[in-house]
Amino acid sequence: MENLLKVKELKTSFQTLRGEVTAVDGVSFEVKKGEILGIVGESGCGKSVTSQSIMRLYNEKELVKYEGEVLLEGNNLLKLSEKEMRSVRGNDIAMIFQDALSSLNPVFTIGNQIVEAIRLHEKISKKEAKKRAVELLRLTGIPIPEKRVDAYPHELSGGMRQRAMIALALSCQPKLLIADEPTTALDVTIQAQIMDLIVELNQKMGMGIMLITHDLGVVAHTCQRVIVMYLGQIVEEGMVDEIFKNPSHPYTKGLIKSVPTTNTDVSRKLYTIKGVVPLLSEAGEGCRFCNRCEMATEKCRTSKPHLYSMKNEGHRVRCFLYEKGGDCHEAK
Amino acid sequence: MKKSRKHSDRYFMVKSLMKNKLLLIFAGITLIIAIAGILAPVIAPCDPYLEEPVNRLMAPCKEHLFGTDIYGRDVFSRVLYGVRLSLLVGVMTALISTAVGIILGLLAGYFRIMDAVIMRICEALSTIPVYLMAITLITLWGVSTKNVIISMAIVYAPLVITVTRGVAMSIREQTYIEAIRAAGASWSRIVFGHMLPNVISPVIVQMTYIFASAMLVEAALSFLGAGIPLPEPSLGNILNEARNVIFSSWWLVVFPGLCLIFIMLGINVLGDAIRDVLDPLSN
Repeated sequence: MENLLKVKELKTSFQTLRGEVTAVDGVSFEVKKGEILGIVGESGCGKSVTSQSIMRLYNEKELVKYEGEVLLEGNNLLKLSEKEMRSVRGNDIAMIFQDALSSLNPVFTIGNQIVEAIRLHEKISKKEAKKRAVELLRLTGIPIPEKRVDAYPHELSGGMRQRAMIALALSCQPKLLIADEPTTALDVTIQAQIMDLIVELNQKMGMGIMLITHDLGVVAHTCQRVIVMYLGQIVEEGMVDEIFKNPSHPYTKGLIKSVPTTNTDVSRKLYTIKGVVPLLSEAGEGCRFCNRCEMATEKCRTSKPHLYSMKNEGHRVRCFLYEKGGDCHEAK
Repeated sequence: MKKSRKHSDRYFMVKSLMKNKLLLIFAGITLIIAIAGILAPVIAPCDPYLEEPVNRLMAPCKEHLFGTDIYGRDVFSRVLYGVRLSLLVGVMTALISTAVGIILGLLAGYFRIMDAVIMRICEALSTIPVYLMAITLITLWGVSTKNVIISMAIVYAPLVITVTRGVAMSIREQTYIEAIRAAGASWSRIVFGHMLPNVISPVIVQMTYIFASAMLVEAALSFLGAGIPLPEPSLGNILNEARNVIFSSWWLVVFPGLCLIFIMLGINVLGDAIRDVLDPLSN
């Protein structure tokens, strides 16, 4: 399949009181056309910063620095002017956020907001745009869309709001949809409905989707490929089946082990990865995971591991355990 | 269905306001005075500038409800025109300072670089006492109604800027602003299309306050001779002219004074009521 988005050595750093902090450190990956790519990791591991860097949502005048390349169909987004970037946002790449209530403006109706999103990129009349908005709402499974189009965000339920948010994101038929924890704020049944909707739309409209989540169940259910992130770096990358059947990085293993299943022995404590994600500014010389890793050796503390390719194609792991397992080479 | 529910929301709000007797009384009196002021050219029995030296300092009677002043002008007519002018000054000051303040406040709240510049200027302006500032500006530019309005708008704009900027800063961090940025909106659209409607309600409350205090300051400035120039009547300069004859002709002080007091009280009570209605926390 063709590459839709290719991120090369993306580095996002923020100027803080403690000095420069690199929230995303040399991340490279690609999203193929029509593919759903999952990005998983704990809070604070740089998932959201990665997606916001792709859209360049941080204002560059305000102490943010981007390095590397973000190629959308070969076009480097990091080189575009702010004005050119505006026509990419919403048009080529759209985003849905975690909490739909706070990501819809409370003073405008759903319809108004969708109409505005459409008219930002296309020169059509308000009437036509509103017709489109109704269609979009119908597409996302909102009952009686003709009526809901005039509702304010607070008048809708959580699931309905998320559907409206998705309709808003789809308004200009983006090539890439970034879904930043789209189901975290919803309850389980609605979660499943929304995920099914996203998969269905992915098949219908053929856009690439970047699904950011910390819910491994959602990933297993919907994604084709997965990226596991830790402290601003990719620690493991591969096909979903591969990652779940044969997790290789100690962090991925830990993540999968700490999910309770129906077979989990309830008399024993659930597995947890010890410790917490350290502050970015405190990341040491060696492997970023070494303080919490059960397999850490002296080498892990002093030198940085690269992404090593495993025997299956596309499966790569950033851990010295696999240094000799595959061809040792730096990820391109 | 939705419409009727909304209607009833407002209906209950108005109903609860109606229960407040104090509010009703003051709102009623203010409204009467304000309407009388607005309709001054129609209602006023005499020309407020017409001097009749024969009838100077007449006590209130049938022809001259509020009596006459030292030049024999009808005080009732002058008070009506004075209220009219005071209202005009209040409204214009409130509108201009709000318009300027909201724009600068939003920009300060959205752009950190502008924030530093705009807020330092605001802070510098607000360290100078209101009257001193207004008198200085009027002395610089000369006494006229237009200059009174402009200088008071400058005095009050920092108030609106501070309020707007505070709200704008918290709104800027909301996800829906990020979401509309992610949809490809330009900064002007974000600031004026999406942030403005969210800051408007606290600013309206501020506006009523500015309206009321601008009228009071105008009266004070006119009283001091730095406000509305004579012979144009304003509540302040009517009181000023009455100063010398205060012990012999009480009506020259009492009527314009009462008018001023009731307007002030009424607007403040109304402002509180508007805040109660608009502020979701107090409901």
